[in-house]
Amino acid sequence: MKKSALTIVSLLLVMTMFLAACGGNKNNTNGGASNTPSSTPSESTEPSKAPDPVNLRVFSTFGGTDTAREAFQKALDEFTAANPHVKIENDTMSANDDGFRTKVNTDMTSGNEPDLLFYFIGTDASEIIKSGKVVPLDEVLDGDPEWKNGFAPAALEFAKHEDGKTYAIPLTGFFEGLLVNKKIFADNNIELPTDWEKMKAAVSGLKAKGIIPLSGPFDQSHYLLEHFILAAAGSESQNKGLKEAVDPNWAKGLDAMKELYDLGAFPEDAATIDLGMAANYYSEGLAAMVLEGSWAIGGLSDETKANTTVLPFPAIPGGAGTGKDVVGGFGTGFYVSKATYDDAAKKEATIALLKHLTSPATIKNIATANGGTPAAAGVEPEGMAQAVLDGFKMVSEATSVNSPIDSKVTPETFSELRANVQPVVTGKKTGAEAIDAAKKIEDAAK
Amino acid sequence: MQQLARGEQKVYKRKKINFSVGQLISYLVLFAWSLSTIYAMFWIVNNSFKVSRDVMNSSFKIAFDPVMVNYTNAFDRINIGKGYLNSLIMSGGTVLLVLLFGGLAAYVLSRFNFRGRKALFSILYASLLIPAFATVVPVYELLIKTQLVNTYFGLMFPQTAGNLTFAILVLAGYMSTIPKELEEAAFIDGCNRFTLFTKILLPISRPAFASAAIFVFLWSYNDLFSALIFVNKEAVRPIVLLLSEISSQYGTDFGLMATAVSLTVVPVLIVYLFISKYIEKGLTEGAVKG
Amino acid sequence: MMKGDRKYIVMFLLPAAAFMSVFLYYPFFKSLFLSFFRTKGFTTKTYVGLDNYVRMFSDNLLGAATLHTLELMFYVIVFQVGIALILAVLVDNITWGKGFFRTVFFFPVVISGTAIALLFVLFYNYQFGLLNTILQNLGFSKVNWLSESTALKAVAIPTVWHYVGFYFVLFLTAMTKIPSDFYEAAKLEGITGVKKTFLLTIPLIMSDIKVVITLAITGTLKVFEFIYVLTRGQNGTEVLGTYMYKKAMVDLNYGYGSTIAIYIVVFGVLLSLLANRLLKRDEITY
Repeated sequence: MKKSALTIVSLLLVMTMFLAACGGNKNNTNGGASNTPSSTPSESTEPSKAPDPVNLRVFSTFGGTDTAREAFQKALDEFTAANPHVKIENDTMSANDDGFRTKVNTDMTSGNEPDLLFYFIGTDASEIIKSGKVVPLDEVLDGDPEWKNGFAPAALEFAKHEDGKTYAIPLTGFFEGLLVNKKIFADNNIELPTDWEKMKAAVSGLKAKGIIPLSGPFDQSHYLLEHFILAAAGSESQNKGLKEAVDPNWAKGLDAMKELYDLGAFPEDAATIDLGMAANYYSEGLAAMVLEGSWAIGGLSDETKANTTVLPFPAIPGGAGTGKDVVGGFGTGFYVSKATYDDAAKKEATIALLKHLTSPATIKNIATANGGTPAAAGVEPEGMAQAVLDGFKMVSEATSVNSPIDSKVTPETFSELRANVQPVVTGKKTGAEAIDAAKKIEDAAK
Repeated sequence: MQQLARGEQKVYKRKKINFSVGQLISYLVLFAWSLSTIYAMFWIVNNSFKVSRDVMNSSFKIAFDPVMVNYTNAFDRINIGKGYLNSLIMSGGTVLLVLLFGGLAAYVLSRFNFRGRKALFSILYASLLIPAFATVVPVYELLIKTQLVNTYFGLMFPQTAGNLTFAILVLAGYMSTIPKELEEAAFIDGCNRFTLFTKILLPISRPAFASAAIFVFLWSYNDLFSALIFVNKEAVRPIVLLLSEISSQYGTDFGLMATAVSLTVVPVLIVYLFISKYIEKGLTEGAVKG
Repeated sequence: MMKGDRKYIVMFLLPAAAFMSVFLYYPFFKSLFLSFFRTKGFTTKTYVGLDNYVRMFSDNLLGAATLHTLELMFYVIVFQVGIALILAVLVDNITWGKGFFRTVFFFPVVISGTAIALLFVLFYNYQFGLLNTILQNLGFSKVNWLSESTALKAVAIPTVWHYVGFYFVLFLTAMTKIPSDFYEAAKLEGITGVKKTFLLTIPLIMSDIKVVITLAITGTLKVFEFIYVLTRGQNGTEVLGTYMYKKAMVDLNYGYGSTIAIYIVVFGVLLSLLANRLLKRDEITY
C-alpha cells in the first residue's frame, strides 16, 4: 500500500516536471517552481562517522505558549554549543490540541518518527510501545549509574510501563488541583472549600457577590470530569476506567457537577469558552476557583498567582473518594525511537542529548519554568511560587496520586463524557444516563 | 466579456432617471451596509494599536497614541511572519498546480472533440458535490503513508485536487468562446498542440486564468479545515491555523487578537483593491462554487 | 481532429485526472469503504457491516447537528440571499457609486472566515466583549450572546455577512445583462420602481437566483470555521461539518467519521435536488 501510494505521488511529481520541460525554454516555469522541495524535516538517516554532522529531530510540547519553552530551547542550545556537529530540529505542538495524540501516533506508525519524542506516559503510549517503535531504556539507565541515581526513585517508578520496562525518561511531573484565590475568599469572608459542604457554601456565597465561583469550560471539560469523578468514585474505581461494570459512584460525580451548577458555580458562558479562556477568568480575578494543572500557575497574572493556593478537590458525599485523592504524576517523558537507536551514528548523539535534557541542571531549569515536580532527586527549583509549593505539599499529603481519567478510557468514550457535561448540568440527562452512554461507546470500541 | 461590456453600455443608457426619494433611501441603505464592512475593518485595525485593556474599555476611541506592542508580540510570540510565509508558499503552489493542470485539461475539454468528453464533464460536475469532509480521512491516511503530512505538499496536493474542478470549468467555459479560426491559422503555421496552448490559448485566456487564480488562492488561503488536519505543526502552519489558535491561547489579549486579524486582513485588502475587477469578472464567468 | 491529437488529449488530461483520482475520487470511495468498518487508528479495522449506519440513525447528536445545519441554511437562504438581492436591486437602480459599492460589498468574501470569526469573538465574549462593554456602559446588564437559545443565531450573523457580497455581485451581473429594451417597454407601460423589480427584474434573473440558492445550500453544508472558533459546537451550534471533524479527528473513529461524511454527501445531493425541483420554473431566455 505504502509503496503504491508513493509511486503515485512520485509519478505526479515527475509529470509536473515533464510537462514543465515540454514547455521548453519559454516563460513556462510554473511546474518547476511548484516543485521546489519544501522544508521537509531532515530524514536523512545515512550513517555518518562521529565528527560528521548529525541531524536530530526532537518533538515535544515545549512550544507556543508553554511556560518552559525558553528553558527547553536553552537546554538544546547548550547541547549544540558543546557538540557543534549535532544539529537539532526543535519540533513542537501544543498538548492542549485535540489533534496532538493523533499526530504523534501517526508520526510514529508511519516511519516519520522523531529521534527523541516527548510524550505521555501510560495508556496513551501503549500503541507506540506495542508496535516496537520506541526502545526500552533500562540498559542505558543501568549503564550510567550516575545518571540513573540522579532521578528521584518515585519518578522512575512512575515512568515504568505496565510491562515493567522503562521506555520514557521523566523530566518534570505535574499535579492538578483546585486553584483557589485566597484573597477573594478572605475579602468576602468565605471559608476555603476544604469539604463538600464548604464548597457548596462557597459557591453560593461567591455567586451572591457576583464572582464566578468555579471557572471551567463544558466542552474542554477535562479537568472538571477528572476531579468530579475521582472525588466521587475514588482512586481505585477511577483507575479501572469503564472496561468492566459501571461503578454507580461515577454518576454521583456528574450529579455533583449539576448540584454545583444549580448553585451557580460556573461562568455564564461556560458552554462556549475553552480551557484558555476559563483560566483567563481566574487569572483576571473574575473567578475565585479553577481546576487546573501545575503548568497553568506560571501563566497566571502576578497578582492572582500571589494569592493562589492549591487544594485537593473535596470528596463528594456518598462516594468513595477520600478528599485527598489527587490527579498528578510524571505524565510525560522522553522516548527514543527504535530507528534512531539502531542507527549507530545517531544513537550516541541522541543518548547524549537525552542525558543532557534529563540532567539535574536542566530538570531544575525546566521545573522552575513550568512549576512541575522535578524528576531529579534533591533538586529544589528556584523562585517557586507559593502556589506551586502548596501543590507539592498537597501531593505529598495525598492518599493517592492518579493519572487523569482520559488516559483510562478511549478517546471516543472521553468525548462522549465531555459532550454530556452540559446536558447533565442543565438537567437534560442524569449522571447515570451519561455514564451509561459512555460505557456503551467504550464497549463498542473493544 | 463582450457580453458584459454590452450590458454595461445599456446600463449607461438607463442612467437618466431623476434623483428621487427612492434613490435617497437606496443610498442610505447601501451606505449603511458598506459601513458594516468599512467600519468593521477600521475598528479592528484601530484597536490593533491599543493595549488589551483599552480595547475592552474604549474600543471606539481612535488610537491617536498608537502602541506597537501587539505587533511585536505577533511577530515574536506567535510567529505570524512564518505563518504568512507558509501560507504564501502553500497557497501559491496550489494556484500554480491548479492553473497548469487545470489549464491543460480545460484546453482539451473545450477545444477537442472526442468520445467521452460529455462523460468527463458529468464527472466534473459530480465532483462539485464531494465536500472536503468526504475525502479527509483517506487523504490523511495517504499523506501519512507517503510521509507528506505536515509538509507543504501535504496541503498543496489535496487542495489542488479540490480546486481543479472549479478551475477546469471556468477555464473551459472561457476557452470555448475563443474562435476556432485563430487556432487553425496557427496550426497551419506549424505550431503543435502544445505551442498552440502556450502561444495562443494561454495569452487569450489570461483574464480567466487570473480570476481562477484569485479564487483558488482565496479558498486555499482561507481553508481552515484542511490546514487543521494536514499541516498542523509549527514549522508548516499557515496563517488561518494560527488565527484559530490565538483565540484559545491568548483569549483575553484583545489587542493581540485585533492585531492578528488586521495582519491577516490588511494585505488581502490591499491586493484586493488592485485586482477587484478580475474577481468580479471571474464570478461572472463561472460561479460554480460556494 | 488533427493528427496525433489522441496523444495530446491523454497527455494534457492525465495530470489533472491523476490528481483528482488520487486526492478526490479514490478518497471518496475509500470513505465509503471505511464507513463499513470499526477502526482503531489507521492500523486495525474490523468489518462491521451496517453497524455504523445503524448507529447513525440513532445518533441524537447527529440529528441535532442536522437540524442546526438546516436552521443555519434557512438563515443563509433568507438573509444572505435576500440581502444580496435587495442590495443588488438598489445598486442596479442608482446612478453613481456602483463601482464603489461593488468593491466594498464584496470585500468580506476575500477575508478568511477564521479572521471574521475571531472578530466576532471580540464582539460576543461575555466578560470582555465589545457588545457587553457597550451594554454595561449604557447601564444594562450583560447578555450571554452565545447562550443556548441564541448561539446559533449569533453564529449565523457572521456567516451571513461573510458571503452576502458574493451573491450580490452574481445578482448584479445578472441584472446588468438584462437588455434595456425590456425596461424601456416597461416604462412605456408605466411599470417603474418596486413594481418593475418584482414584475421584471426578479423573474428575469430567476435562473440566477436558483443557482445562488443551490450555492447557498451546498455552501452551508461546508460551514466549519465560524462554529469551530466561536462556539466549539456547544449550545446547539454543532453542525454536520464540525461533528464529522470531532468524530473522525478528535475521537479518532475514522469509520464512523466516514459514515457521517457519506451522510453529508447524500444529504447535500438530496437538498440540491429538492431545491432544483422546488424552484423549477420555465426559464426565461432573452
